[in-house]
Amino acid sequence: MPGPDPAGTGGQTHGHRQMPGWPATEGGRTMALHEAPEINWEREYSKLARQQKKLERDYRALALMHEQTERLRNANEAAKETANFYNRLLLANTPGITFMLDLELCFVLGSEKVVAILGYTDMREMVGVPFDALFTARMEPHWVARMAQLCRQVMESGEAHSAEELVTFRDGGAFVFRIDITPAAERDGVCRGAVVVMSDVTELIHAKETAEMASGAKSEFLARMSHEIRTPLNAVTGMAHIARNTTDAGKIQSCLAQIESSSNHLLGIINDILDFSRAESGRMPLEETDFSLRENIGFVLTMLEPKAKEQDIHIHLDSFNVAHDVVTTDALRLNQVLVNLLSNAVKFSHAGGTVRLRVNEFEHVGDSSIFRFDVVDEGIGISPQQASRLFRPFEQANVGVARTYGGTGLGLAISKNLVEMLGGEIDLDSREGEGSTFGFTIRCPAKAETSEPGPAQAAAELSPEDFAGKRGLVVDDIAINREIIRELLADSGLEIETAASGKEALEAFSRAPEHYYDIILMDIQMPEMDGCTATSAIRALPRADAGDVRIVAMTANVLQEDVNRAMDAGMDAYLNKPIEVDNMVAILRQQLAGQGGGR
Amino acid sequence: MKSAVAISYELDDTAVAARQLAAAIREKIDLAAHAVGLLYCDADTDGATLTGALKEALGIEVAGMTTLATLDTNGRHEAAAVLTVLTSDDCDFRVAVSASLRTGDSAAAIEAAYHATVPADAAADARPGLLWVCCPYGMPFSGDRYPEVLSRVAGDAPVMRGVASDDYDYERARTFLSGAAYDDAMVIISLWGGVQPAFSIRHVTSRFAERIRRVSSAEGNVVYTVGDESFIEYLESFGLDTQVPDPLLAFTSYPMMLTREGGDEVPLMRHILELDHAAGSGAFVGDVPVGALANICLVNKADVVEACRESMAALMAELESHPERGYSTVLCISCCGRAMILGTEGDAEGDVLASMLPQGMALAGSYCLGEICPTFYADGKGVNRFHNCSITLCML
Repeated sequence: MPGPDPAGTGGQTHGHRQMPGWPATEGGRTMALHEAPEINWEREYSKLARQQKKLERDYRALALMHEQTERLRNANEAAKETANFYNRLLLANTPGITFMLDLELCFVLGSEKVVAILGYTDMREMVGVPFDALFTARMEPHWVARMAQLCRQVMESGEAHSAEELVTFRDGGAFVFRIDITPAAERDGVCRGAVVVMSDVTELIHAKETAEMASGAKSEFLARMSHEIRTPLNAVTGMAHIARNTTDAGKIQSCLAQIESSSNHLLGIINDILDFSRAESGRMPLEETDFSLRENIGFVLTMLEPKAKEQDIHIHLDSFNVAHDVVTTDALRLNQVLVNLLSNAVKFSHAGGTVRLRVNEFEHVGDSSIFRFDVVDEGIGISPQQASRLFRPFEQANVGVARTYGGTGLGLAISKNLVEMLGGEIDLDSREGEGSTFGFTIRCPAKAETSEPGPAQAAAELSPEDFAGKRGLVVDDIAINREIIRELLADSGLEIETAASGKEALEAFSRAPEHYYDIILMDIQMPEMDGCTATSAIRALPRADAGDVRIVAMTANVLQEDVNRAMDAGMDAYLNKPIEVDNMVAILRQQLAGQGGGR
Repeated sequence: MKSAVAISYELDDTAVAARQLAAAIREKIDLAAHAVGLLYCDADTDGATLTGALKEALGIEVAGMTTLATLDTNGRHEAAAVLTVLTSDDCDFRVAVSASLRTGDSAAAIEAAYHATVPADAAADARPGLLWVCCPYGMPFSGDRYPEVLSRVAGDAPVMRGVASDDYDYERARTFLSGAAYDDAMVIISLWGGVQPAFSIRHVTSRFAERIRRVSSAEGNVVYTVGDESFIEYLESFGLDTQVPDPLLAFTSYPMMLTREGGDEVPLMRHILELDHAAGSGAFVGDVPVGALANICLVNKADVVEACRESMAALMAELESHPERGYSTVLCISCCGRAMILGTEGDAEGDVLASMLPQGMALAGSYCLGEICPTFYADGKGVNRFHNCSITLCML
């Protein structure tokens, strides 16, 4: 190497340091003592004094640093204790089976759960114990061997392993675990062991499967609904086509009867879906009235008798042990449940069979009673397996039942929801091939004396005198809807005019003399100006009849908030679409009552 | 470039010391066209007289400064004077001393001193191959100003060396230039021409505090708050005593490591210089920017030795990679704090250097109260930083 001093020592020999203060270093060469010049004691003293000063400096530094180090050590010990405390807390509260193994697959530390599962009381008992020795006592040996192999692989490859698997315990328990094995590496990347986290996901998997089943059931339901809806629609369109192409009055009547029947069936399906949806979302309000339970039961049975007779089924009230007959509850919803259960009983009974209804007042405390209703049939019965799924939405006993007997599969789910809304529970006792007993309870205020008649009131036949002298405005953007109402009320005496939008209605009302119209049947959803806007505008007009004219909403939106919106806009009542004649007449009577001629 | 190193312990008689040093140099090396002397000596040395005598004896400019201890090929020496002479035919050595940095515009004074070392015929954008600077201790500004100003005025030429020291009495630190001593002036040696220096810097810490905090309020080298607590509270949270007579010495083993916003080439170390209990603040030997991550760490003897070994190994790797550069000398600047941390094993660092030094390579060094060294160097340009608690090496 060019340049440097070959010795590079500044006059000294490698490895032998010249002591400061050593005499006779002239030129860097050590002289023999007998050659040494006379010692300059003053200079030597100065050197010694300098060395002493250096020592004092070092002593001062060491003393200061030592003291600080002691303090830091104490603080570190305290910090370690704190850290250990929290480490213990962490391990005590770590969910799942979590533990760490060293490179020899010996236990290092783990969560309290792993300590408990392996039958130990203190984690320190497990430290240093080989993994297989610890786990073989509780787990299957082949699983332990495979886990050990996986841990080795993870530590060697440095790549984490994740999997879900069924782990069987030796005591027979089996759980699905998500197992994560991670290499335990320090900042330098060198692996020191493996961290194993086993999370019990059995419930999660179950929930996932349930969700998938529910999803499957919904898909099945949609497919079924498609069939259920298309079948009556097919009948409607087919019969309409036949009726249009024939002049045979008898045939036309037959077609119309078929169309009416199919439409009613279709309406039933849609009502079921809507009821279920409303009950599920908690948007089905109860309308409580006082009525006689016995009379109401009689009405329901009367309603179902024709259908039962058709199938040669005898349906009757088997027992009625009720002391407080006048109840305060939602008769419509109670009847809905009774009709559903009795209809099912009739549907699934063999010809010549009997369907019995038993009603018992179960308990009466204060003003309130618990009533139990049992619908007993001798039909096909249900297996326990099928029974467990029966009250779930979109499920029937099996697909075959759906195909054979039809229906949405929502009836029992709706009934269950309704019964719960009425403060009770629904249950089933059934034997396959022998028959079923569907029972439910309701809780409601009840008293002994009879008050008002039941809710079921048949609509009177229409006559020209009913609404004679009254004038109505039918507002609907669909011409056929306007025409249907005009035709349905043709014999009622009500003079009808029509408008195709809210805007037209507003203009017609504004143009007309005061009190020209007695009632307006107003569709809600219309282009240009909807029914609510038109109603608000009519109510705001500066004329005497703006606040008096009765306005009835007609809507296919049957959710409560839609009804509320209509009422808030200033409407007086509402009619559901499709329009049921009896209902419409009842509403018209109610609204026009006491108007005494109007014009 | 050729070099020779000589040592003398005759601090009480500068004439003898000068004779010894000059004789040893003359014995080892023939001076080429250009030469300069670098002197590191104990604070008891009459540096002015010694450098003057050496200039006269060798006919070259001799620059230097006081130090806590010196290093040479044989290791560490207390109470000694070590002279390194660099000589070359194709590298020119130019020296200058600044005006006082204690008063007036210190940056302008440094800048003027630098320009005094620039050859008259140098191109406008020319920069030296290396700036070797001896900085005064106790100036009213942070040590970071030295590399900042020099980097700016010298086009990022690499800057090496550090701050003069004494035996922690903070009174006798001096810089020298050929017959004069200064307690407030910087001495600059600039190397022009054929020089391809190599650098290495290391600081190793074995333990860090668990509580890392971001510097939330600071100004220059004064830190007021870290996180949401005052700096004094932060220190005391580790159990450290802040009521100490000499914070620089008492906290020597506990420097603060700074990782700066945006990322440094290497984290910087900072020693605590003073503590102000009224303000809750701490002053450091070097700037501490707001936003930097502060981490109090513990440096022990093993760390000092390991850093020295790592740094020297990196330099030796450079030597092996570039045999054509003809490296002949290793100049070492270590921190006074490191010397103190070694305690009763004060020779350990010097021993490592000596053991790893190739046969025939000269070594000279000293201990500073703040080291200056590039953390990155390429194509003649360096990222110059002011360090604490580090060992910095330069190979020529």
